[in-house]
Amino acid sequence: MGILKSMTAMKAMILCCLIAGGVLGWMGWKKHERVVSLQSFLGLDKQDHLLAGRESRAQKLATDLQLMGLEYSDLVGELDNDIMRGESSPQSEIRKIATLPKIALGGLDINPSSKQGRGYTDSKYLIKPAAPGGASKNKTYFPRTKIANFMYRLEERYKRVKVTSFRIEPPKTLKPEEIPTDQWSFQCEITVREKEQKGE
Amino acid sequence: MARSCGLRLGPRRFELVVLDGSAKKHKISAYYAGEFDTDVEDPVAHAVELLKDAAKAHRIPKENLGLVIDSGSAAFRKIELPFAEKSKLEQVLKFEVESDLPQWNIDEVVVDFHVLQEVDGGSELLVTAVPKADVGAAIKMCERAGLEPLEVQLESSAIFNAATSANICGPEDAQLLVHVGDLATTVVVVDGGVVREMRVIHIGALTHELALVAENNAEGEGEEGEAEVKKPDPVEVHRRVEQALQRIRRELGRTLAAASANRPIEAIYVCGVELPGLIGEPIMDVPVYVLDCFEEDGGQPVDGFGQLVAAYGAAITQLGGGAMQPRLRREDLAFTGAWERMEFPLAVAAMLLAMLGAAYFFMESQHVAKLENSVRFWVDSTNNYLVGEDNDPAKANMVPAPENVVRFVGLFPTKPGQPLKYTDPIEGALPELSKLVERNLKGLRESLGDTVGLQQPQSAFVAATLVLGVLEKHDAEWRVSLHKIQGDWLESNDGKSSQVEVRMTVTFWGENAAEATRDYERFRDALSQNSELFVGVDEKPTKVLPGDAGIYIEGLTVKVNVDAMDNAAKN
Repeated sequence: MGILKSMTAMKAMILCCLIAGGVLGWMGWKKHERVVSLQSFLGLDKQDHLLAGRESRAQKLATDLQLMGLEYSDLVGELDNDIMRGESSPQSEIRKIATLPKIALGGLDINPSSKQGRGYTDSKYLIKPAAPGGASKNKTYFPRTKIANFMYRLEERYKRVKVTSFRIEPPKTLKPEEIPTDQWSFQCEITVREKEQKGE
Repeated sequence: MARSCGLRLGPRRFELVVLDGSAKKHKISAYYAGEFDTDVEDPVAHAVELLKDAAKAHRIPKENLGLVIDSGSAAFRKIELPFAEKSKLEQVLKFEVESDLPQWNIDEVVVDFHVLQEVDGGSELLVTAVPKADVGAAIKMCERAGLEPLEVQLESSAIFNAATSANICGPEDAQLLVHVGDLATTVVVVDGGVVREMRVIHIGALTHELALVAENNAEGEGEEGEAEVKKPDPVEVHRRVEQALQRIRRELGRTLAAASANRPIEAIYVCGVELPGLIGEPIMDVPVYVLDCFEEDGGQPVDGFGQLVAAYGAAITQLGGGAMQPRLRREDLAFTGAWERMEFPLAVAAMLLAMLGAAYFFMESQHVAKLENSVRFWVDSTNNYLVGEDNDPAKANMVPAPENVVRFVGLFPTKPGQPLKYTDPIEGALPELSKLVERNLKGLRESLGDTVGLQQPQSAFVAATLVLGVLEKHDAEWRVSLHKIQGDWLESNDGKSSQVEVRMTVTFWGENAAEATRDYERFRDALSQNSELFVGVDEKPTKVLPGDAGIYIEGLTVKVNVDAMDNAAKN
């Protein structure tokens, strides 16, 4: 109360100005701290010039985000084409490849199996061209390009598919000096490795 | 027009005078004379209330108030010093006068001075000493009444200033100025318009009341239980007043006789409380007049104006008039004076500080806005890249954009005039978006059977392609026919390193076996040059073809690390 009684207009003005100056100064300082933070984020020096030879955090984040966006699109595409998660079974997917133009392998015998590893499961599919007439001794022969295209397509279309084994042989045992014709029998095995699902 | 107020505060009475105008030309706009009641329970509170009421009723200018206190407790001394500089006088005054004031501790009195004359570099001073307690009590009473006196003086200086402002004290005459107070009478000897000396006679117009009260108290103690106070006998009162008058006259006569005036004292001017028989009766043949220092039609009352003289003198002093500038608040206001001197520069400095703060805040705010715009550019560009400008999927690179990302991007409208809906600091937008996208990626990876940290099988098909690629590269130099080829991925036991074994039966043709063998060796060398990829080439016996047309190698095994190719591609 004593202070209020002795308060004159001049004293009040000085007090108000000092308080206002202090508050504004403090607020200005907080803004300055934000300026420093933003400059650091943008990789700028005190004059707002780009710091040479230094990638700013903003630039790095933007670049990473762009790469992640692209990776996301790729993964979405992969998910759409995933052999293990498609609407049809893996065998059907393999047969679809075999019927593609420039491949046209005809019917296939596909023998699925799986193997448990430490923390993963390998799904394996042994693929052989179906024998004509159903006789197992009879073999079907194809040009190299068809066989190679088939294996290439399997790996190209389904990112997780690996052709882990194949055999390409001529119809009969050739003499060393014999030139083989472009007719080959083949078989291959593909493997899809997945992390072991929890709870399985 | 300036206004001032003079307030005389005595033990029993007070007077106030309000002046409008200047020191030379002024008019009394209000005056009041009041008396404190002694029969109340709390005399101080009563006095405060009276002062408060009077101040309110007469609208006294509180910012320019001069207080006059009773001279009864003061002491006046004359001292001579060998210098006249005011600053030096201020420094040594208390020390020099201490020995002349044995009745007081020098630290407990306020000492003021008035230069009587300066001779040969030295000075003769009239020193006034008043107990700080008395000055403090008067100021405190005023403060309680809501008044803040700028300066305090004694009745002696107040009546002198009043008299000199009215040109009563001419340069050719000498006078006695007398203020009859409640309990003391103040006398100022004026010679040629300047003060010669001051003294206090400890008898006032109401001194007899003290004696009567003392007698009443003495009788009351003797007759216990008798609470009734005796009313004073009018005859006795008259006798005592007459006695006081005679004593005052006698003391004035002594002052006349001992006065050190160079000129004959032509008159005695009396003010203050009216004592019947004092004015008009000459003392030692010197006429006694009422001190009428007021201008004609100056607003003073027709009768009883004498009691207002001290308050009037103080009001004149506050207007800058009067020959004396007493300063009994000198110590009290030492800081205040410094503060007042500093007040304006401080105000300017404070305003500058406030303006500087405002300018600093404004500039930094502008800077922040500019930088936030830059960050916004990065955010908008990234948003557009991911979900397409205006959410156009045709321009998007994150297809199909997840709902949470689209929702987040929607917080940053790109059309002008639309407010930003993102409320956090803008620099947090990209990290937040990054977390969102990362979360979506993680979900997708999990859907695809997250293979992070899982060694994938190697492709036997790719391995065979790599080996056959070497042969194809030298297709123009070597003539090769492939009889059989097979590839098998060999998984290691540790589950980490693995390789593919490519086994083939092949014929190298040539002009002769030597040339074919050379081509075969070159093939092996070509494989060996890339030992990270082709980690092993087995030694196999060769057969010379009939007619020396080339060589035949059965079951040539090349071990291939396909991961080396993937790592090289990543790097």
